[in-house]
Amino acid sequence: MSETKMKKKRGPRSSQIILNAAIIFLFALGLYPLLMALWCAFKTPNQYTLYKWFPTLPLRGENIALAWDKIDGYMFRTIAVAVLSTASTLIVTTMAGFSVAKLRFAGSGFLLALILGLNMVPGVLTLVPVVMLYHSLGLNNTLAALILPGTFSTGTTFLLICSFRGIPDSLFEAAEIDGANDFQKYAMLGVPLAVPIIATIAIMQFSGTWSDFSWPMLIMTRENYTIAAGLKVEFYDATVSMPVSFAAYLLASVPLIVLFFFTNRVYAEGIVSSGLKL
Amino acid sequence: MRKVLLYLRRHWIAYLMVLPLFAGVCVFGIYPPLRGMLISFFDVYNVTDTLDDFVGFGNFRDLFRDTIFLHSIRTMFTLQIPRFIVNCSVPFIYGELIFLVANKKLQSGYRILLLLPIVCPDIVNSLIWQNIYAYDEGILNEILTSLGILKENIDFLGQEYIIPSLIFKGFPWLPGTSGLIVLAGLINIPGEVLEATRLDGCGTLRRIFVIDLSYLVGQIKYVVVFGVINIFQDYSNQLLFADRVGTAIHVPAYYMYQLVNTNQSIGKAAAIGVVLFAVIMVITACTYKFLNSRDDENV
Repeated sequence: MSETKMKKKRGPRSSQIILNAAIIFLFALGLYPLLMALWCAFKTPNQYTLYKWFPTLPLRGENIALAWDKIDGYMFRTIAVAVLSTASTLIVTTMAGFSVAKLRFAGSGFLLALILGLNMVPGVLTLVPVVMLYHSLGLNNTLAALILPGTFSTGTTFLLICSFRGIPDSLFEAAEIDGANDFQKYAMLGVPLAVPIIATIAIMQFSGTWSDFSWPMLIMTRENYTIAAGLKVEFYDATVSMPVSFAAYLLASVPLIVLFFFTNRVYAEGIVSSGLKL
Repeated sequence: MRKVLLYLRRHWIAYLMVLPLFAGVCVFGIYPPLRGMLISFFDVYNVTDTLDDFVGFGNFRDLFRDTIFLHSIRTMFTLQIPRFIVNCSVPFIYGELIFLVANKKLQSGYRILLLLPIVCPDIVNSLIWQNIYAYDEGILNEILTSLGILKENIDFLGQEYIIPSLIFKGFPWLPGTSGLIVLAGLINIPGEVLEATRLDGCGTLRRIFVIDLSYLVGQIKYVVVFGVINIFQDYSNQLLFADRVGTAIHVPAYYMYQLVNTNQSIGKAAAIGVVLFAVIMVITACTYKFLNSRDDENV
């Protein structure tokens, strides 16, 4: 019943058909290269030259094995880095964000101003000194150099401050009367109530670390690159058969595909409900 | 003194909880920008050098005589401004198209498809496009020659065509997260408002420009401000496509990255950082001012 109501509400049907056709056409055009990469990952070089436009049988699983041999080291390192940097970012920024938003203490206003101010500093100003800083601290070419950059993100902290502020104070006052200390208020009330935005931040941080290649190429030596930089040196700069390259691209995307499959609803909800409403 | 101690005793947990961020921000947040400005006044050739050769504004003077840098400013406009226009308009086009879909099931399906490109790391996307543009067996060349539009293959990633190729890279530019942000803004427009426009006989196009855009001021600000900053900061395409074309697609930020990466003239690189910082500050302030004045008119 509601179906028919909808149709009546929104103009004639033909315009809806055209609209849907246009959207599907754009998505098909936009997603086709991804699909092509998907089926080309399973072709022999010959099949690739002749029939790259559509999937063919038999599938050549060997490509995956060949590609994996080249990227396994990068993959394991990147998984470790992405998990650790996501965890450290979440711990550091949620604690600070919650304190600034909900615990009144002398200096919290100053901290908020600091966070806002540093948010305005563009990355181009800090690239040179940050590289020199990592060198002088002896952190270049260590895992710490890959994990630390996101951990003290003022942007993430600010996003969290905004969403913690949206939680009514009365909840925390009640908890205080029940004898909760500041950390318990954070761990048992603040964090559970902010799960959508925290999940969204986790996904952004994970996929950001996963996809970044400019920073690893600057601070690490080749054998310690993460996957994105590894793909560049192993497949872009070198001549490797195209199907094997596509197999490697596919393998490199698998963790993000899995992540997206399980979290797209939470992610969408977080984006919609967060301070990004602005 | 005793008061301070008592206060700390009451709030020590809060201080402990902000301590990691505060400490990290002092080292990795406050120190680098200040240091960056300082470095730009010294002659530094290696990332491990110390600052002992003060040259005043020497690095800046060199910079504005450096033909690569001057050329990179021009490239920044020809390459990044069209991309800025794309990045700013595409989220609204997709958001609006999906919002207009009446069937709610289809709409939420499209919403998921909208996010699908984020499973593909940027580099993979770029590498796929490198394949589309390739000279030998490149997909675009194969399509255009088989349709008879081209007589022989074109080197889309060579000096001559690289800039338009990079602008069209990713066509039709599925917007990912920013499209979702716009769509969320549209879904938040109160139903009564949309109902009223319909009753008043307001056409869809007119409604988009008069009603929707005024409800999307926040999203517009977000997309535009980020887009403006990206004009100056983004060099992800250069990292992949610059090697083959000399300095044809060098933008200032990439030139800086290159100077650091090849460990030459770090002082000059820092000077580029300072110049870009100053320009970004001025432009963002102007953008905010402009957007806010538009805001007032709407009210």
